[in-house]
Amino acid sequence: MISGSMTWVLLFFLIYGGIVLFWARQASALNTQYFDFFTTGKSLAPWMSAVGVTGASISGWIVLGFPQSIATQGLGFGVLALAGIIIPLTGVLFFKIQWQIATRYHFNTQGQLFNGYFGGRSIGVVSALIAVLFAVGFAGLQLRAVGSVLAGLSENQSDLPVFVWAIAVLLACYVVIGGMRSIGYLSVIQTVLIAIAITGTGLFVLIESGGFVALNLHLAALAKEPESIARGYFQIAGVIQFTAGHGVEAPTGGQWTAVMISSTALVLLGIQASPMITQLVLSTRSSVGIAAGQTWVFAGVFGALIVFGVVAIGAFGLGGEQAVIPSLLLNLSVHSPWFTGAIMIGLIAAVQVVSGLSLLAAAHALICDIYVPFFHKGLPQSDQVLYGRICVVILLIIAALLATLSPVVLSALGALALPAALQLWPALIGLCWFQFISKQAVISGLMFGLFAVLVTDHTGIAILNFLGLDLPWGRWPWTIHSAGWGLFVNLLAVLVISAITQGRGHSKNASEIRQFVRKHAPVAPRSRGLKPAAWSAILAWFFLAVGPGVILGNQAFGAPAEGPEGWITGMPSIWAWIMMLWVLGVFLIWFLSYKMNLATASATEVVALERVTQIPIRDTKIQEPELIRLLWTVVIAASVITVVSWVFGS
Amino acid sequence: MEPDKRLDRAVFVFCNWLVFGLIGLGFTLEGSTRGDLIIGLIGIAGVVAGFVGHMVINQAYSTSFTMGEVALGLVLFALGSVVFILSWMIGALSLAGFQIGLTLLAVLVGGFFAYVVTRYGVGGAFKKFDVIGASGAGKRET
Repeated sequence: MISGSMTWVLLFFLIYGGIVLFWARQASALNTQYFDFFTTGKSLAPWMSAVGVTGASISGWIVLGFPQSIATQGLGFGVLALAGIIIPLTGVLFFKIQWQIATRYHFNTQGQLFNGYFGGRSIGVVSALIAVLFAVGFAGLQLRAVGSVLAGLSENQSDLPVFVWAIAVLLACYVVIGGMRSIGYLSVIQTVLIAIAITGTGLFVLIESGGFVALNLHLAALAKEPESIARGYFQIAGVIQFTAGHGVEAPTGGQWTAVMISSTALVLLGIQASPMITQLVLSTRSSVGIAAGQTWVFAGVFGALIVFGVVAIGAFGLGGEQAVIPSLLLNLSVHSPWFTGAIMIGLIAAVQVVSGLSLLAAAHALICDIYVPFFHKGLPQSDQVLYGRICVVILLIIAALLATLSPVVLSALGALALPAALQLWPALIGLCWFQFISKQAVISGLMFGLFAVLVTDHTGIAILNFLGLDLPWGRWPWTIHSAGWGLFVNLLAVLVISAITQGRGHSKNASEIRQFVRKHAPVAPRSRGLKPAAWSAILAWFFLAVGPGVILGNQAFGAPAEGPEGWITGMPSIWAWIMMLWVLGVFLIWFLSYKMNLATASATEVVALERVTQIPIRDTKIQEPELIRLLWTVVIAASVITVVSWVFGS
Repeated sequence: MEPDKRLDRAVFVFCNWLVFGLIGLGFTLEGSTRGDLIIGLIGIAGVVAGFVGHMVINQAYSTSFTMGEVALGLVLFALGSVVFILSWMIGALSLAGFQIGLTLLAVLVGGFFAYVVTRYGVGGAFKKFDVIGASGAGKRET
């Protein structure tokens, strides 16, 4: 028997499915060239890209994951609600230049951008593998999360696979039919649905708790309980704790130290450095929407939604024993089933917006950055699109299978995706800003960084344990996130190796690209004087928002245990601190985007170079020796792993 | 309009109605079910906002309502009116539900006339519906 709310969810899902397929069909009709499937022929409207980038960056991770993390770990985690400022910072720094270079030199993937500038193909391969990690791990994890919420609403957990596969099938349909264009169109609709879901759930939280004042009275009562003091629900647990990491030694007073917050904030910087977001930016016809999108849509509107709505939802569930979103929706379904259905569709859209984009980006990267250059040179575009479609379906099947059958592996893979994407930051800095960074440095940095991420996170520790090596530390030692360890090691390697390899670390195009960037993305004379101010503003904001200065927020607006009498703003001090830093953050993003011209469109039009006519490769066929070599590598690696785990493993 | 821009506009219009239409439909339904006029009025405000948003988009893209949009609007209006009248006749409406439905219909009709008059002027608006005048059927034979 289907409950009333599930009937509405089903009805809305059918309508949503119809809408999705309609737009996929419309998009497909406009795809006139084969490669439009992957890139829309760089014709996506700037405002669509701006909204879509926001939606894909937020995704189900923030909508579903953040409230639950705040509810279980306290408002210390809530500081990460400044994601509305931290995430767009990457876009402000890199999107414009990436778009300009890609438009000028006909680069279609992040891998091609890196390969074109640094030379070689290895960075492109790493970028493609990170894209796959997003498509399988990150998207799969979100598929499972939304499936769980649906199963919770239907009050039957055994329904989870049905929901996961239903969402996956719809996803596969629109990605395979319309490609990037349908993803672009739908990302706008899905982002709007995300906003509706956050607003609707936030409003229901306020209604359920009797208003904002009543919600804070509830928090005040909770703040005085010994358990919440012990768990550090309302404060940051110091600057750093030199603990051995989760699973070995637990930090006291909560894990959210200032260093933990700043290193986790780095994870957020990884989202817009990922190949999937880059793919959307490169499919846009102009760079005019970047500044407005990052400043007003993301930092402004969605920043506010996260800081007010998402934190309110998490705070409402603080100290509760049930999962916050499913229990809220179950409650809401009693009062208003249609409203529950609408919010549920918003959550599904939040997952699909990121899943669709990551699947297409991964398929594109696998085909263009790995398969064609290494194993099948001269493959016609029509076949590349066909193989791309097949890749999308295969990756989605893997993600859905992991989501339904192996959640532990999935969560390990999902946790790696963002820290891994963050390791691309030095490559992006080299591409967009500093010629000093060489190819050898980027590759070494990536390897060292990814290794450091692995050995300080769950996945690497589990793999090494499987192979018989017990590390003396657990996950996130010294309360530093694996992303932080990875980036630290990565940057160290990049600086040292760049210094050693100066003058021989770029492709033959690099100096031309550098000149082009200088011409098209110059620092305006009036902005040059503002450079020190910009650096100071960024550092000050980071220090106060996610750096050691965040502990000032513990007491800045009243001691946590004092309650509303002592809380100057009528809410916990740390929440008020987050709101204040959000306002300052919007100003920071605006300043960097517009005043420093980092994200505004260039006054000089970017003219694409004439394509070099390539001699078609006749008699194209699969390069068998390369494929056999790959096969042998895989077989030998698998054998070595098996032997090592058999001899040393537990 | 170029196909790309036509589709851009269509997505924009769709998102506009996704937000305001959902607010309109949801709050109107909620107001009628609960018998709460205020909630219903919020829904009506949502519909009006959607209409205004649609006109702003039209202005931005230098277009008017497309034939499809007009047809869809008229069908939805007719459907809503029929549902409202039938519900009223069989007595399924509370007083608040009746007031909400009536207000919604009045606002839609008023809004439509206001739009036509401000866009085409009084005379022009009349001519849009002057089927007899336009076809020449009412002219005296000479």
